[in-house]
Amino acid sequence: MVADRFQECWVENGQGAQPATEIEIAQAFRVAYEANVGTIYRYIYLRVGNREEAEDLTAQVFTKSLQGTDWARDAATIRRWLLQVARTTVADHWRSFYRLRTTSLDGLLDDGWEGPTDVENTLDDLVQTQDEVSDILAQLPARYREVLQYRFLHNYSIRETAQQLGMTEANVKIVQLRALKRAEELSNRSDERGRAHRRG
Amino acid sequence: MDNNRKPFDLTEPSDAREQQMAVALEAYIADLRAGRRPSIPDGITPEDIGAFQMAAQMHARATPKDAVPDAGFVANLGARLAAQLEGNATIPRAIMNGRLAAVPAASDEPNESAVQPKPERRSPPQKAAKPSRRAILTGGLAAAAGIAAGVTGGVLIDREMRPEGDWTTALVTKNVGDWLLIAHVGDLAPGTVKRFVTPSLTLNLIHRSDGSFKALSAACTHMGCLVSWNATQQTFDCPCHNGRFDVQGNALPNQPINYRRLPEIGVKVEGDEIYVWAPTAAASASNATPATGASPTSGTYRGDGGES
Repeated sequence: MVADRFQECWVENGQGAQPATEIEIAQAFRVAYEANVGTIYRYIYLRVGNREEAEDLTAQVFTKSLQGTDWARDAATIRRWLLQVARTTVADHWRSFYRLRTTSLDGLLDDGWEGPTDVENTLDDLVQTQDEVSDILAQLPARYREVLQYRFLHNYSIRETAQQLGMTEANVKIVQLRALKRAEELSNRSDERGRAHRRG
Repeated sequence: MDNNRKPFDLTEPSDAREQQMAVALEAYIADLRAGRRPSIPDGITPEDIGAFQMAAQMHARATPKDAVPDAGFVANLGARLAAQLEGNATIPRAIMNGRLAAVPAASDEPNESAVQPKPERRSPPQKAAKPSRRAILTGGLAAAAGIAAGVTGGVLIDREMRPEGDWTTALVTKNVGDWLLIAHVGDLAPGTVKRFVTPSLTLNLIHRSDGSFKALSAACTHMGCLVSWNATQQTFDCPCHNGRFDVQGNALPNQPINYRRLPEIGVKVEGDEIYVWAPTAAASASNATPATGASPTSGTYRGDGGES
């Protein structure tokens, strides 16, 4: 029965541990949900770029963590935990587009196993900042940077970008692809450097 | 360096596969810009996907307004999760088969009004806003929470009152909305109650003996099941946990569950037209399009069988 299961959860309330009632857990969840749903949604939206997927994945994060989370913990712990769940949920989402059917280590990695980690992720790891994108743009070759700025900063169409840069539309699309690929590589490299730095 | 090069050639030539990927990537970006769920091509490799991820991130940074979640989505998800946390109910078969709209006592009431409200006879609606199937079955956003979580029919649960500002109330009062024409004065006799379905909520319209009109949300404030008017007892009855409310929307005393009162929906009468203030349904919860302009929307909403 549900009530029995909740008897095993304990809530610290300053007067020593007491069994948490269904009501207390529901209230703790509600507080934690309202404190974090915006942050989690935003974290996910910044990585998928559209509302529908962001809503789906946000729902997944909370549904996955609903029963297994101690909602009565302190706010910082809950937020860090939810962001970790969000991170793996987003990673799974992207992986689902190229999931390989193998039983090898590759297959395990594709199925969501992140490999052994010896570093505890801090909140810094998990929350990208606007500065990082600017840094990455600055490191790109000029033509790559220009295409991305016209497309994403100024919201130009392919045609307008082609006119501005004296290129064919087909070439704009190619350069857009190469620029975004290079930007993603730079972003991954800087993530690794950051983690190594924190480890060392 | 080749001085005969045109203004801008690719530094490296492209091949067919890259061109395909470039076209697919542009289609993905076009989806994002149009607010559509984007699609990613089959046959994509881990090496390719980085470009799509970066495109999503760059588009997201250019659209900060969309980084704020939709209020209806937040409320709906929260209600669903809370209900899941609180109950381990199984969903009765009648609801799973989508017959909930017919479950309320209306069809069994001997004095049920057999006359459907007349369709809108003035100017045609600006947009034919049809209630979504989900709204009809679940009584709107608030009720969707209860249906998704299931209901524990017949089980008495001892619990204290929900804390202030539970989601069912918030959904009705805080959303942006508009006046919707739902009926004409002649559609229901004084002293009768009729239930109406709109894209964003289901309501009971009460024609009082003094001629005035009052509207209450038809979603039970416990878990969102649709309440039905019980003419003999003059109460609104919820089939899910036997909750009962008086004609003002207040929960009757001495019930095992402490229900919050049924939220009141704004009503205004202009001439013989009856309008209710309905929240604009979130795009993800219904198929309705929001009303625009200052004049009331002249939409047609059918009563779903009515009770008297």
